[in-house]
Amino acid sequence: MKILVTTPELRFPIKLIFPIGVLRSRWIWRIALKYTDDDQKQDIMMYSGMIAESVDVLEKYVRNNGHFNLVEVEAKDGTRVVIRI
Amino acid sequence: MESFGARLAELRREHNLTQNDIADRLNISAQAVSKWENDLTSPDIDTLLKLADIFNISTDELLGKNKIEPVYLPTEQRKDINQLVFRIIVDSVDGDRVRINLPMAAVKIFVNNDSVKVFSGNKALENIDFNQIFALVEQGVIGELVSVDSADGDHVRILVESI
Repeated sequence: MKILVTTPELRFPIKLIFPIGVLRSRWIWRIALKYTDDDQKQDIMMYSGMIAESVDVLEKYVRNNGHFNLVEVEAKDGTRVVIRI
Repeated sequence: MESFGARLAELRREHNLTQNDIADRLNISAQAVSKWENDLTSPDIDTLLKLADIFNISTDELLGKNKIEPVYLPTEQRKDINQLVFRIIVDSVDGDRVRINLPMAAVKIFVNNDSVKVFSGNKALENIDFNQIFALVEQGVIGELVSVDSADGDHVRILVESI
């Protein structure tokens, strides 16, 4: 997964790259739970399973159809965020 | 219906192309592409055909015609769920634009829990029944299935398209 952030203030875009497979890791979700408020822990536990399941679907989709932009956000001030799978 | 310029800019970004990339392929200036995207001028018919080739779509789709009407597909013409993409397009009243593209198979995982709304955090999506949309798709309806304006002026469109 690539996260690309461009803003009018920055001369160069910010690029973050990490494998989406890590979202399957229980270790990642344990860290997320550690830094989550108690009232949101239930949500995290519920969504972690669904997100891990969706990672399988996304990987299969990329294998069959190539990479795609999962999310694109463009603010009025010119800031643009793209999450590319 | 969105303008030709907005549609062209959207397609260009979807394909991760710059205005220069398009200009190079058409052997024209990047300024000409910029003028099209800002709806100051329009390309001629020959160029429209070349643009459609670049994006691998029909000229109807390039002009935004095919995506508007929902269509019912009989059983034998329906695509597998893995061949469908769920697009959420939000144009907020303050000028922000959000585009979410999800493989339909991934939507299926979340749809029973209304999690699409939770993840988006967008108020305009609160009253949209994603279960109903998914049921429509399962019955063979694709195309633009939702086009609504929220109370605060955001315009939301939901499309289901085949790959």
